[in-house]
Amino acid sequence: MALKPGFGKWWRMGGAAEGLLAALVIIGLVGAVTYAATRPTVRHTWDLTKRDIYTLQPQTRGVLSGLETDVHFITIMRPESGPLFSGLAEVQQKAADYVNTLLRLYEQEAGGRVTLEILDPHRDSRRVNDLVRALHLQRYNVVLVQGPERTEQIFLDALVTIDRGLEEGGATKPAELRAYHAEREITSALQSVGVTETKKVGFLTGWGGPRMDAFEMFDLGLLAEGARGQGLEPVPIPPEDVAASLADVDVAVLCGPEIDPGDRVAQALIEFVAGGGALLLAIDPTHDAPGLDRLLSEVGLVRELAVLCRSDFPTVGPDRAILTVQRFDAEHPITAPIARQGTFARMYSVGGLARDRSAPSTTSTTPLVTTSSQTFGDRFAPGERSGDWMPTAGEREGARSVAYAVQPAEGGRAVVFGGSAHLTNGFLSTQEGGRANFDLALYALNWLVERESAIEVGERPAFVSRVDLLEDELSTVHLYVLLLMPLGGAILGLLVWFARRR
Amino acid sequence: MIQRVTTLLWRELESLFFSPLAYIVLTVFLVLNGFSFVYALAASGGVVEDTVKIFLGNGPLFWVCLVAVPPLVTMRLVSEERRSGTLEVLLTAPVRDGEVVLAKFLGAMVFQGFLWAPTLLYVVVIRGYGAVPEAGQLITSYVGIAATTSLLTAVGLLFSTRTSNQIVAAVGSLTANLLLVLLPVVVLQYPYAAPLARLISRLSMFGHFNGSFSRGLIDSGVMIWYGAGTVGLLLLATRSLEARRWR
Repeated sequence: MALKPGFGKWWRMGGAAEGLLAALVIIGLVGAVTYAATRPTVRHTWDLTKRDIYTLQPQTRGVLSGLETDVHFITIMRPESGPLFSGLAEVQQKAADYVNTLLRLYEQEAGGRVTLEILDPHRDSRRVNDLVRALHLQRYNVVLVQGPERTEQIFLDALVTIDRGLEEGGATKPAELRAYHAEREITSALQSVGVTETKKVGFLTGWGGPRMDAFEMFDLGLLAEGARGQGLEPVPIPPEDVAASLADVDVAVLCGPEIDPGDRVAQALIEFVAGGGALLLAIDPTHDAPGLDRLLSEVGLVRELAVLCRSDFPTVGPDRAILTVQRFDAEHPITAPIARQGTFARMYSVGGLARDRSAPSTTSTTPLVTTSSQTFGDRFAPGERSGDWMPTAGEREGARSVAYAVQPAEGGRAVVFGGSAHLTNGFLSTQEGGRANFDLALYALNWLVERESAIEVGERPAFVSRVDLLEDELSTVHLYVLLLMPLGGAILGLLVWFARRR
Repeated sequence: MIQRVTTLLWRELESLFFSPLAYIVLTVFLVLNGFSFVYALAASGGVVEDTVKIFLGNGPLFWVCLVAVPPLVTMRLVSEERRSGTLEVLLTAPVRDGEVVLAKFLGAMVFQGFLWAPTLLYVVVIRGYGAVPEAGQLITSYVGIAATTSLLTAVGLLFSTRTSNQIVAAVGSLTANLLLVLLPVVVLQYPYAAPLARLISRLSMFGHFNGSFSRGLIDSGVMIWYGAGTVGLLLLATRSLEARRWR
């Protein structure tokens, strides 16, 4: 019996509708399963790398499981363009990818307490600009760790060790990733952003020299902004009642005063440090200040009243007093990250510091930065700001320490620099100064507020296997992969074809 | 069921491995991968980890092979049977439609495994010159290739069930594969996609290789996406075969 006209059409439409419904159900199920599988709480990552660089260590898991507040990670990465053919941008990209992957693991392990936002300065320019303004960001390649009360910034340089490929004499070699220590820094930051109290950094004002709230070349605006970026609160300390104001701050900063603050201020600072306060003192060699010399002596240091100049520099004049320093203490928390990077700082009109032999042996004084041996101390007459910038008889040549970290058995910490210019805006911006100036300043502040790595998570050396083929070896590789192997495939096909014909 | 699928699988493998097209594909595939490897060696500056990453994850020719081979292998799986009329014979045999789809899928996967296997020899070649590749990175890269290939093969199989014309099946599945691979990458470049960046990046195959497979990582979320996607597409292919009854 023939079907009634029109039955076939309805039959087909019914089939199509059923098929469409089935397709929608299947797509919905795939979406639901995938969504559920990517929830941080059920997601798992297996790390098959040789050095387990993507496996969080037990200390970190402990911190994550004990998190009491929500923490938000934001990464803003943009590789720098290094010297031509140095491969620095590629290595930085690799480091950034490593950091982003590691942060995803933190998100997975934290059971919903940690969220992650990966920003691209080009694609997410509006959001990045907002963050730059709000958090006083000085540069990219940074991880922001945001807690309920404060945000900590960790720069890529502190997360990995990159051999930037710079060699003596300006020659370059390929940049290379040396070690991963992001976990230590990130876990430390996780711990510290949970703290609600904001530490105050008091800048002593009214003694001439660089100003904390100005952005001229020789002012301290960038240093204050950098401190804000680290979650610290910079406040001015007026000259009227220094002792009372010091009671409200955690760190006192006295940077390049031009007027002698006198015995009263020196005594207030001595008592402040003795009482557990921290001090950042940057004192120029051209500045005559008996009160500050007494303060220096109290923290176990003496200074050389001479401007350090380069003896190997071919020109004459004040340019000789611009030093490029690359010798950083590899052990101290302030300088260890800089030493690992192999970067340099620029210092201007800086004087040498030395340990005071009469200082108590219980006080730990660590020379942080040392000049090269081609340095001489240019002496000048009383009342003058410089000498002749040339090595003359009686002016000693040799390496000097220009920064010290001091930690007495009792009392607060101190960081002392033999000059102040390298902390000013012109030297903190990477265009004018060395890359390490900013890091040196910020790491010093962090150490002074006792925020060095709170947790010791071991670093992992990067595994780099390299194969450098000679020309004939490369030809052999080409012969194998471009000719012999495809030829093998073709011959196999011919053999199968012949076998089938028979 | 396993016995029926095994019988069908042998039939598929026989037709795949005894076809001259298979060895033309193999030869072209090895030439492309040869160039891809030479490029990776040069672009990485000899760093073995980067060589593996480019060769099995970031290189342009790698993606050409990954995207283009599944449509070439799957285009004839059902279309050819439909065109030559053997499909009706097969489907009237005491086998389920799902078993036919599964056997054809497994046959295509085994054949593509046969294509990718010789690329391991490249690693053996550079090992001879002192290179020490990370075993973990190699394993996860090949796991990534297997996962991606399974999804793209399932796409190809679905298209092959929809038409009796092999060229239409190949072009359709190639277009779908390109969309799957490139669309997330293109969309992520635009600022307006920022709110959806997280969702889109979860579907990005480039992202999966860059973020996990090429790094020595296996992410359960990524694997389940490929697994669920493959199963879903195979179910759709089965529905597509069944739909012939409605025509």
